[in-house]
Amino acid sequence: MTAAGLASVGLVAAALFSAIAALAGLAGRSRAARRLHHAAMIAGPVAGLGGSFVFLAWRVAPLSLGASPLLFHAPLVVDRLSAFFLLLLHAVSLMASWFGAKYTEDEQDTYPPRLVLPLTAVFVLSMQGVLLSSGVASFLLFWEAMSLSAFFLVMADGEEDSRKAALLYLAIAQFGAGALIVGSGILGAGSLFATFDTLATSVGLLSPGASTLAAVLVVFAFASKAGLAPFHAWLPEAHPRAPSHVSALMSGAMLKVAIYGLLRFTSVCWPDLPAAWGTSLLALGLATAMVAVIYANIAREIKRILAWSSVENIGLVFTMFGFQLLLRREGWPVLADAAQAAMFMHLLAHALFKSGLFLGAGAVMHGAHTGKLEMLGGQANRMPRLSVAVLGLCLAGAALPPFGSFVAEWMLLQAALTSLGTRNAHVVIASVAVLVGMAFVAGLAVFAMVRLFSFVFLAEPRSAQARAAVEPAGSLGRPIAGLAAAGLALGVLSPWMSPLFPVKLEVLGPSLSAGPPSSGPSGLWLAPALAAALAAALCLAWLIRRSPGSTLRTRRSHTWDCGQPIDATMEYTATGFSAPVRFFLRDIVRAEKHLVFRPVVPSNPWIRHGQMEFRKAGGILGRLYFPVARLIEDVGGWLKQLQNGVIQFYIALILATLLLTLWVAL
Amino acid sequence: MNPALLTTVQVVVVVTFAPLATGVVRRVKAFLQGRHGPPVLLPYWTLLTLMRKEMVLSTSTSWVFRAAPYVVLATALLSAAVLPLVARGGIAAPLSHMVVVAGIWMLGAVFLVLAGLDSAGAFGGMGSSREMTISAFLEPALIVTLASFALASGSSTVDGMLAIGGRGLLSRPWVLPALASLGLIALGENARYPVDNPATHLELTMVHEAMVLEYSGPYLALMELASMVKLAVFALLLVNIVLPAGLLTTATGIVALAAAPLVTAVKLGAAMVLLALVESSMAKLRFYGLPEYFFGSLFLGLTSLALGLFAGWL
Repeated sequence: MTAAGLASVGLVAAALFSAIAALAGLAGRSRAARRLHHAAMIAGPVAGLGGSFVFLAWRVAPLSLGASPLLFHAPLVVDRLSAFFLLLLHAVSLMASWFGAKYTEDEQDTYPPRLVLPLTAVFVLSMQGVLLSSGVASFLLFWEAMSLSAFFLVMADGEEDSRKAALLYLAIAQFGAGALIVGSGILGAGSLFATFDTLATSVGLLSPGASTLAAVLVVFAFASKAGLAPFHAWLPEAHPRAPSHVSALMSGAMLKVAIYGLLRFTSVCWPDLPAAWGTSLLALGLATAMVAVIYANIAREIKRILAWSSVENIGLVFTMFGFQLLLRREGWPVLADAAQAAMFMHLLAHALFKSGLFLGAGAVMHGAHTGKLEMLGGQANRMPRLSVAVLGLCLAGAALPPFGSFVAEWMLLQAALTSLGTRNAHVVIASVAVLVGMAFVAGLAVFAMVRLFSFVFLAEPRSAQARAAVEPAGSLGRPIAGLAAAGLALGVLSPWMSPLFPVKLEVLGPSLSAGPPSSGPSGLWLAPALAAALAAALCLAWLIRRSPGSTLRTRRSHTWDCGQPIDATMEYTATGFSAPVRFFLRDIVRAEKHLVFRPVVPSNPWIRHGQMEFRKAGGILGRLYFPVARLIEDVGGWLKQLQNGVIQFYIALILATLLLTLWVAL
Repeated sequence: MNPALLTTVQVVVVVTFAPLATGVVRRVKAFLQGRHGPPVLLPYWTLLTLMRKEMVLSTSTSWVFRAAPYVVLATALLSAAVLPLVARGGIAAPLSHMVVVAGIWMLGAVFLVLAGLDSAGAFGGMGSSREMTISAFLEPALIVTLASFALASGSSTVDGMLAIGGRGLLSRPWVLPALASLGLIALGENARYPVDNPATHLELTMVHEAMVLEYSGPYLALMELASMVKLAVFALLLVNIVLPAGLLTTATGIVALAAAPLVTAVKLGAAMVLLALVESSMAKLRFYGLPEYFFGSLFLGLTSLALGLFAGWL
């Protein structure tokens, strides 16, 4: 069989397995049906992973997988861009399903399987559909199916807070979907049944104003789905609420599908967006990342921290997208290619480590029955194998060498450094912003990831339930370890990863002086060299430890605490750990601190109980969303005065309408 | 000379002289404070004694606590291998890319912080919180400062940046604020005055020492050696930017090898006397006064960068 044949068989099988899993999941009460569901959920991504890998590695030409009247006759098509995202989606969904097979069985009481199982399958199927669609109508259909299945999954546990989060998500998702439908309608000259090929020609017939309006609508739709500020409010509410393997799919894959939509529509319809778009997306992306990373340091619940970190990473992706757009428009294609390569590298790296971290959060919460940092701790002694995997994922999340996320950051920073030599004011200012902003975000991202790992895994457990936790079953731990290994391999083996990407991966050479940069030998081979050097340095450190004359004698004792026995109440708390961040950035955070003191004995005011409370001042909801909602309510209330119940007034209105119509018509 | 040999010689020389540097700075500080001070060779004996001592591990700690000394020392050794300290153009020099160097230092800081938190004491947590804050907020300053050097020298590897060392600085005076910023970063990264007090008797004011409080025996020796190497690395780097003389290259003959330790010792000694003078002439900053320090450093780096970009346009 040819490579093209293999690829199409794999991808079609992946979609079919998802459909089978959805049907089997409907009969979720029966054990056999559940087993069939889990088998299909794992078999699908395996086939999809194989199919997209063959497609990418053998450089197969764009491929049609067949059309159906159900999908409005637009064929399912795969090209390099969609194949890359299919690879990413199937890598994430394979690990999430593997984890989910055990997790959903164990958590049946919280998440009813008859709801969660079919919806998860539909969710995966609709993401596959979005990536394969070549027609606008089928794209929109799958897009809506994706949003709606995610909506129901967010409120799967039936709690009040989950319902609220899900409704907030639904409101923003539907607002975005509406913008997308209107935008596509404008692009297709009123028809939603165009294919992307015909769209490319019909957009040329639009007036510049209409084209810009459509661009604004479409970019808004994808940006709000991906979680770009100020449309990110739903993300930190909704992502933590879903079952953990669904959170992994949402953060790891769904956000990337939104980025895919952005890339697809902009490359088809607006291959020459003006540079101002690049600048604005870059600025919005950097602002998103900077604010989100601060909140990732303030949040006190594992999955909430991870959700804020997702907002931060989406911000970085938009920064990279805007930067490459700007560089291309200003006439620096080599630099633009480097920034674009960094974006794709970051997309894949983030998909791997963030889904791994969400699965890790699920495993910890499964064992310790809480996700609150102030109640966790000490899990490294209770779950040693899980802690190794999660430490790897946290280091990847902190963009530290030698993980794939570090390589992505390296690519971008080298492109920004080289851009300093372009002598183009627009480009130079953007590169300085990228350098400073990325470094700020990188520093605080390390802070957030270190805090996340430490307060879950290190020191003494802070509650009885955390003390009683045990290592999760292998079928929960192995997918997490697999994702950590994949994130490491992505960095260490990056020179050999190029065939899997839609663009050529490269780190520009270190020379800045050459003026206009040339596409010289890629610096990417430094990534494996760095990993090897790190390994060699570790060996050297081990040799120093084992040098002749040193002792191996070890004794265990408790931590020194000024002569007192030590317990978990003496430990630093997660809130205290990030206090400097809150204090240094208090003008951005604007938390309200409330201190209440009550004397133990009324006569002595010095011996007292203290109580401290932090309240976040509203956030984006309070500062932007609610004022807008109030404004709409006020306008509505003012308009309601028309409805005053006086019949004469209504007749006057009808007369006025009639006269106005006549005046307009004649 | 063979590039592999250059890197090897550099690592050996830096690691050998690192304890001496710490000894010199302690002795000079004691002299400036009117004390006699410990002998300059004391750090060697301290390390050797620690290696022979029984180790006490806290029952609260996990494998992370036992892994941290290796990673922290490995990152210090790696930065001693890649940066141009004793030799330029060694086999590891391409890895001295500024982003990589920042990443390596951050990796070491991360494991130091994890180890401090793992001991479950309040002191470790306090030190870790402060160390993480310093590392995180110095990151933008570090990147911008190195970017100014990259702009000036046309190379984003630190090895290449030395091309403008010494007299080159005078023809590009706009790099001088970045040099000052690098000095501030060096003090912050190495837990010296005015960010941290390396010789305090009060755990509450410590940063670095609070994190390694629970270490003893050989692991403490590794941690101490790592911080000594890091101090020597920063000192030699700063000296080499101002005075890049006496560096080994692939062109130098084998005879220069004998002179290399001597040159390094002189450079380190000069840097340590200067460090002792700086530390004796200023007070430690309040921790919550540090944002001014961080943003001052960032501002100096940005000034250099802006001036450099304007100079390039003219």
